[in-house]
Amino acid sequence: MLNETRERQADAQSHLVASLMRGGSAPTGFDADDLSSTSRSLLSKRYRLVQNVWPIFEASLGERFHPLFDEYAREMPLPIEAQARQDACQFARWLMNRRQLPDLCHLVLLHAELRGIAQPRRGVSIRFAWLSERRRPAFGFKLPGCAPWVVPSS
Amino acid sequence: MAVVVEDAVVVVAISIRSRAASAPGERRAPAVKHNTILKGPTRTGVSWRPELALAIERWPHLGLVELMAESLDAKQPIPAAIEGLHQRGVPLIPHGTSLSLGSAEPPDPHRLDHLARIAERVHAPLVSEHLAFVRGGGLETGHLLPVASSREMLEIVVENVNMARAALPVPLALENISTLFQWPDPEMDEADFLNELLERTDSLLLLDLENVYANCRNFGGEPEAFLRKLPLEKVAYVHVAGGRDGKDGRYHDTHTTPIPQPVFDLVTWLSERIAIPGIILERDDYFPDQATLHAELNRIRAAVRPTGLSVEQAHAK
Repeated sequence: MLNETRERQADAQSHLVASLMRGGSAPTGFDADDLSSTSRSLLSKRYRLVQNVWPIFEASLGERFHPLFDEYAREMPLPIEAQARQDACQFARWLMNRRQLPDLCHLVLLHAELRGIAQPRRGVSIRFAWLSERRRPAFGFKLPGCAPWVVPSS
Repeated sequence: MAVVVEDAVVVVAISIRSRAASAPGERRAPAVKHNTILKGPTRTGVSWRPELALAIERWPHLGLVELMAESLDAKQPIPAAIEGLHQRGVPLIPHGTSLSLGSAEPPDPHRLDHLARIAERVHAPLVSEHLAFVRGGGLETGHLLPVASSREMLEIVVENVNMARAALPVPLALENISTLFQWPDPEMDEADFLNELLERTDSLLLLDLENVYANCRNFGGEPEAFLRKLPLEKVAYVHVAGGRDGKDGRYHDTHTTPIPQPVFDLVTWLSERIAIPGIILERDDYFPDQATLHAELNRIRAAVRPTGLSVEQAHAK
């Protein structure tokens, strides 16, 4: 009995979350203005958290940061752990796939990947990247227990 | 410089109500009849953030600290600044934001285990979470969303909270949230939902006064009328914070500004009715400098008008 109830309520919660996160139409019975405010609030909070952990985005992207992040957030859900650092890495990769990742952000992403922030890793890590603005490669590695070493450093 | 802790650590004393024995292997904490976990005069403190660590440590009246459970790694050493607070005898309360006890799905055992381990690591007298859900259909929202006020959802949340309590080694306090929307066709109001939920799960109440203020600002109603309907004898501790007026005409619970005067007034109102066990200031961004933080904490202390009664006495009055 409770399982059926759970399924029914799970559907209702899923529709609501999809509406809030994807910007779809409001589920029946909800106040559309209230949901719209909530949706903007979620987006603003997500933006602010990423801005705090990676201020380099704003410094590098300038006025493009906010609209790009809005587009990203509508397209890409929060990583499962909903941590700002993972979200920042995901945003950086999204920019990279669109060839809009500034070199400085790319180097920060390289650092994050070597440190295992993007995904946990053990042992020796080696990473290469192509800096599209400078049109040159970057290289980094990390030994266990040591800080990452990246060339160029910035 | 020596730092004075206002209140000595007290041994956790919990009134035990007879109840069915927990299943083997369960860590379920004893049931709590009245909140007697944090004894003595009202303890005041802060939700710990690295940006505020030094200012928190230097506040001479520090009596309580809340920890963001998800920001701690149960497999790694507890940060030295937090360990130092424990050594000083400041009770530490892990506060979760991702259990999603208001989800239609049962709580994730791994998340419960993490919260339980953190509670054990910091010798917590209790842990707290929200009456909210944070995910649905595989999507994380990173935000606390309100639960539908229906009998069906109440049954689900009761089961979820009982599952959580069975997995936790200490009592659980549930927090009322702020929201910018409401579910259609409510079958009961928030206070009735909370009353029945807390009663049926033997849980405590983490009363967020700013959330009460925010909801009344956005949806109408008197905060005091709402508070009168709550089981105030179950208040484990209180949250206060400051939000901001949005361009959409709504009050947003952002934890980014000083506490508004009406929330201080609610602290006073509450303290004239119950002996508030503890008050935690929440600040998530735009962190103040040390002097500003200490001034705000001192204002919270000044807003408390002790009744001189214990929670039990005040409730019995």
